[in-house]
Amino acid sequence: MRNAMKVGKWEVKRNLKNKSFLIGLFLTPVLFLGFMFLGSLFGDSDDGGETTQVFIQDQLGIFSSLEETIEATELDWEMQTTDVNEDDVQNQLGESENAAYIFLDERALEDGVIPIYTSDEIGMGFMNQVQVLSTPVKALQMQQLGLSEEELAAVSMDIQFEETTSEELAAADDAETTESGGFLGEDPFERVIPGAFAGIILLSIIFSGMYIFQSASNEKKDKIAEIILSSVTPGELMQGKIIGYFVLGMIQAGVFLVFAVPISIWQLDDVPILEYLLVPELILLVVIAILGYFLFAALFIGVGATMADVSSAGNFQGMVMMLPFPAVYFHCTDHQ
Amino acid sequence: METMLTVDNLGKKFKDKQAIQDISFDVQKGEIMAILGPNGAGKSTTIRNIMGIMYPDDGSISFRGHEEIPRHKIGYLPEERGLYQNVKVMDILLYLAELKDYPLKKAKERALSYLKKFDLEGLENSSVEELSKGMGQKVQFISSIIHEPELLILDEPFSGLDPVSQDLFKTEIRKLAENGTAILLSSHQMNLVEELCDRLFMMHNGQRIIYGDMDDVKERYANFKCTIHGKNERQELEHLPDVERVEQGDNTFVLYLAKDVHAVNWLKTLPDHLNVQELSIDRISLHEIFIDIATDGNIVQREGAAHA
Repeated sequence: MRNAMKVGKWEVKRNLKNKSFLIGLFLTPVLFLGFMFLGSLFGDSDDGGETTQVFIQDQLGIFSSLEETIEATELDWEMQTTDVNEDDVQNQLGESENAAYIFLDERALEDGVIPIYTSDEIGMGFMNQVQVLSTPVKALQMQQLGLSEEELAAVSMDIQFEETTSEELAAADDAETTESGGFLGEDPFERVIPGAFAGIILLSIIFSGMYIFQSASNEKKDKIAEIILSSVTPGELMQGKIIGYFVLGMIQAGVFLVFAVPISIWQLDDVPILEYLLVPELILLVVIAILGYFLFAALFIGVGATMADVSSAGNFQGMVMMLPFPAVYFHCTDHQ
Repeated sequence: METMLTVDNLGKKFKDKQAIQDISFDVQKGEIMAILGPNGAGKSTTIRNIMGIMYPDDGSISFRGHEEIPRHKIGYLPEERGLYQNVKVMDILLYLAELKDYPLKKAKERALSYLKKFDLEGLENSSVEELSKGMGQKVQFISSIIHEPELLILDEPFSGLDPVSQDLFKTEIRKLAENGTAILLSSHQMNLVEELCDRLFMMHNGQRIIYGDMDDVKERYANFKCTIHGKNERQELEHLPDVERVEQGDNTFVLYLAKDVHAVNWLKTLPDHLNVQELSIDRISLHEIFIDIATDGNIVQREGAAHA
């Protein structure tokens, strides 16, 4: 065991002095978090940049209710009434960008068709957004047919299907308190944050396992294996590598978390990240993670022992790396 | 003299091929013992079995009577050379010394003095990638002796070295032996072995051919041979006194003489009508014995049978 510790210490020291390892150590979390958060940052600014000018030629007198609807849905529209004729629309649109003219008249009530004229450039998804206007128009249509308030409510209500499986029924019987909401619970972050943490651990495990494998086959390739084996037994050498790369994997996970936790706290202001993370189940997760690491290390060593070098083992490496993902698949199908 | 290593009836098979068979020898304290043989004779296989990198099928290996390999007392320079690529020279040397439980401070001193001795002064902080092949080999040699081993095993220590470095290695190996290290080395450079070694074990196709003292072997196998250039009848040469056998190549004849022949007296017995353009007489060298074995010649078989 003493020799194994020496080998482990050496592997840690050697890798921490290795530039490519250090670059990988810091680049992985930066890239990961970069893609996670920068994407959403850019997305926000894009949406905020353009306001759609919507001109409504209102012959039905429902402009105020339309305004209420738009306010409630928080669409970035600037609505105005206008008295432009349908025939003049082309001239008006030619001068403006990101504008639309909506004509509300008898056609809407009788045929259910509302003509819309848009400029060449119009915000993406405008035609989807405009669907929200159908509700107030529909309501007016109903009103004109002379339905009472109650009848109106009943007609305008959507029909929903509510599913309850027998498993959920059993669970509901067992536990008096039923969780409201679906798979992710009330606050999705309550599940997402431990999940992301588990993901980070999983990645660290896979990478460490892979490093062991590469290190062992590199020693074969560099022909130093024989010198090392003249000092320690093969068992001690492999134990040492498992210990050493475990420490390196933990360092990797640590660096990742040092980046991830502050950035997440900054980005997701009102989510109590640490409270969601530091729960008793975390200990179980870490225990399983360590056991998983041993499994992976053993698999990689076993495979590595039969392979001549890294390149011939490339395909197999991919297969071993894919091993944890069937578990994710089963987990997901279980919940659907 | 104390026996450091005993190899007894070692045998190893690779699939159906018998790589080595019935290999037995020992290495004493303070002596240099050579394992010789052509490529594929089984030298490295024997050494790997001793080092525990392979496990023998038959036979046993013991170190001062113990079966277990005392790893920290053995220094080993493998045939296939290699070091970690992007690591500093000093770091590797200290790591290998640490694996042998050698005190770090002492290891550092020894490493520096050996680096100086091998003309590598000032390179202790450069990375292994920057070294030439010969330099790398020197670093490996240092790594195999840095912990003052009691038994040093060198697999082809001289291959790939220039003559200057060869001399350096030779001097160092001799010095280690004088200080009481038992040394087992394999090689196929006969001249070096002849100069350096006290005893030798020559093998071919995984089997023992010659085993014994360097001087004994020379005396036993290195008879005189006479080379004659000129047009002569082979039969006549064969019937000369003390000629054991004749080898012919065009007009060149090599006459292998019997043991204990007196060279001058024998020359006097040559008939006057012999056509001699050139004539030389010398002893069979270790080199020739080696070539002879490698090409399945018959010096040793004949001699060996006579002296068995």
